[in-house]
Amino acid sequence: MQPPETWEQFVEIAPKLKAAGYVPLAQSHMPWIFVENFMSRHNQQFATNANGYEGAQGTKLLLSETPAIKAHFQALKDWHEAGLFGYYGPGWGDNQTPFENGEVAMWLGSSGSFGGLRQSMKAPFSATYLPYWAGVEGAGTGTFIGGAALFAMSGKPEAENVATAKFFEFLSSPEIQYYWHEATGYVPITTAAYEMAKTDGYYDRAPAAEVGIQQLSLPGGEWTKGYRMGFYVQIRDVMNREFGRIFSGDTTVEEAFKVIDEEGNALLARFAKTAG
Amino acid sequence: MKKVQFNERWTPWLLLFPQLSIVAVFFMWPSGQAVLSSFYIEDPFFGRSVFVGADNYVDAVTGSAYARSAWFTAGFTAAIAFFSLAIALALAVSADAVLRGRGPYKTALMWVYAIAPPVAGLIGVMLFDQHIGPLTDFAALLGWDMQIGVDYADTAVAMTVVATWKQIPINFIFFLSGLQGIPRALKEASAIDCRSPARRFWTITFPLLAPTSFFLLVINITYAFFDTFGVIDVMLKGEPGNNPVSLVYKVYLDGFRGQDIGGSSAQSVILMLAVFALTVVQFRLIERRVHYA
Repeated sequence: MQPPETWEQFVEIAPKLKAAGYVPLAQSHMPWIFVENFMSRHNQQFATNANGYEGAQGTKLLLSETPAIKAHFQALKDWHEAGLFGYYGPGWGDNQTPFENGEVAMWLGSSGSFGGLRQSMKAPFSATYLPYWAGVEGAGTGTFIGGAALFAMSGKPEAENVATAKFFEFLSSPEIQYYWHEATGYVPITTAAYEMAKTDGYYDRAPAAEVGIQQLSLPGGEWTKGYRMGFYVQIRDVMNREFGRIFSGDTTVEEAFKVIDEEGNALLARFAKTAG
Repeated sequence: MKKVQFNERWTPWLLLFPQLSIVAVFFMWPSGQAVLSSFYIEDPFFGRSVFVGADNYVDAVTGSAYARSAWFTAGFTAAIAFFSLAIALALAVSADAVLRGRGPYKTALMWVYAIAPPVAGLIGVMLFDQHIGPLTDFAALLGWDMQIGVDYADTAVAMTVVATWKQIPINFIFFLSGLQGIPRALKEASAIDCRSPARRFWTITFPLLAPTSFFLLVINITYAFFDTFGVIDVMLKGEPGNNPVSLVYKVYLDGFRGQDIGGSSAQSVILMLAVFALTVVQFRLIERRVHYA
């Protein structure tokens, strides 16, 4: 059996996995995988003001006006009821554990989990691209980078700035980047580090380790460059709450996305006051 | 008796100084800061503050999450106070009636008090684990498909059970010493007058325990409000999602996790006033009916 490239293919193979005694699919971060990267993978606009890049004033979420994402969550809800999709809450580990135990056949998570999975997985495993709906026009575009960022604050003495720059240089050197890439699955931030891993034969030894880089290198579109929104931690919490309510049957997909947009917009408006 | 009068003007202040400085540094100062920052909204990144008047208060109480959290906190507090007091009282009455081997019983019942709330939370996480939790398995035997972290009500039940369990020992200690403070003569007199132990308990013992019960009620409500933080934090595993959170935990979520200092401060000021009002009500209404022997 081949891993699905599209969600249409998933619909074909999921019942077979279920018949073989597996929960076919689980994921570990719904707002990140099924909202932010879903929108990017399908080249859909997430928020006004060019996904927030043009400023905080008046930025509004567009989720409830995006049929593709609502259809996706309706499908997830139906799969969940049919035993084709496992939802174990918003905790990362609660969803990863059943995959490690062999209860779940396919799991969506971070490339940064790769190093840990190599230690914890009993069965052999590999990785592939995040599936997309072939039926959505323009779908199949790349995902965008995630993770944390390092910031150097202004107003520091020159000597400290030099030290900071040296430290950043050290962190982004090919050797350090390759070391992290190999140990954790973290995607290296420079092509020099990527080349170093290639010439070292790392991807011959661990082909799955290259998938994250390849997925990020897929052709982009107008809406695949990421997002800029304030109080986004709270917006993600609203999403997780509403998604939990969808799967426990307390709300409908339509109503959930209406609430996410409303409360998300209120949070964005609050944040806009700080940027005024 | 000779009345001693201190005439020094400054000595009392000197003696009070350590206590007053603690109140000033750990209560007055942070409370003042909270009130002040509740009128500002702060950029989480560069620390720029904008005065927004009462906006933080309006946003806090009109958000749908706030009402949900307030209702949960009310129910959670009532359940913890009721169950931990009732169970502790039943255990104390039983332990008081034990004649032989009283020591081991008492020790066994007090033991749990040594457990810190986050550790209790961790034990709860294991007992109620979706995949391997024995209490989840037990609930499944009764036909209840418990899903902690997924189902709102299930998580609420699990949190209440763990928080109640953790609080029973201290209530037990106080009830037991309260029972032992009841004069023997009174118990014997009532035993002569009335044959029913249940009736004797409700008419003699329970009213005599009222000062203890009132004290414990105040302590338990404070516990449920504030000290359950560790239990909730550990059981949520960092993601509130569709799970119940208490008002105190929400202050933390918005302030420290969400970097919304102004909104979080407004919530903590509201909470401070609510607890103050609750304490006044307790002392005015309930304490009046408490009979101090």
